[in-house]
Amino acid sequence: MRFRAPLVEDGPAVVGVLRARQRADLGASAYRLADLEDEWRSPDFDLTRDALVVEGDEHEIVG
Amino acid sequence: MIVVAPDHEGRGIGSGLLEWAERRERELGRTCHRQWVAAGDQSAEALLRRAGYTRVRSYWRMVRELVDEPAPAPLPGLTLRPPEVDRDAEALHALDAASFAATADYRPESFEEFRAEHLLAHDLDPALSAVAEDGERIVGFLLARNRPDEGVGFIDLLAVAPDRQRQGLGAMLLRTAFAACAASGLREAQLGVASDNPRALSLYERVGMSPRFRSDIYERPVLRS
Repeated sequence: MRFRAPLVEDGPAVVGVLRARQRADLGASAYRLADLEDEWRSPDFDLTRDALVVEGDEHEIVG
Repeated sequence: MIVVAPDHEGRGIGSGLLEWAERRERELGRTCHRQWVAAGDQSAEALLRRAGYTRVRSYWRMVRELVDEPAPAPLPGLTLRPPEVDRDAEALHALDAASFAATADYRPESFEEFRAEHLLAHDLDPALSAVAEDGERIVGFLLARNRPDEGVGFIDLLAVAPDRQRQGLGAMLLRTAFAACAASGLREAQLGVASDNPRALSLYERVGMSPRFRSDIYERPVLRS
């Protein structure tokens, strides 16, 4: 596994993990890529310093 | 917020992310570490408890089915109109701070943060939202988001000026939003509320909303070395 700062193009994969997590915990998910993009555009958020993604063995996002 | 893919639990991913998040929170000068957990995520809850976190509050997702919703008449002396992002931004930010300052989970938000999070949200729908004015003064507002894929109108913010609370303004704004959502073809209204805000919970139950699921907030103090 590898921990690294996310790239903008990781957005869809990050949303995929969020949606899988919400479906497992809540039974459903309404989270969309546009929601994540709103959060990543926030003036108090720096994508290079305030987020981290975890890559699995096949470079898929798993956290 | 730490999120681990359900099929990758038990491999130390959550622990690694938590360690990183705590380091970043120390860099930012935070006084406490804070994490959101969906109620029912037992592995996340166990991870946080092992790390010394305790649950400090919860948030309920409240929902209400929308059928045929008549729009209520405005309270005497008040007028309603849709919000205008540029014109109203400063007044809405100030009213939001005044309205929520006394609540247990209040955290001040800069004007830029407020504008980005609430007024520039991609799904904010002015047609589902409302500003209540007494003459030139904004005394309450409701911002709602349109999520047509799920048939949901999500109420992002409901704020009432402290000197106008307990007079029916919050209920009127909610019923106005329910009517607008129903007229737009949405089937359900939703919002989030803190478990330690009994006045807000009581208001939402009075207008027919009920809890669907819960998220928990866990915190522990930042330890300085």
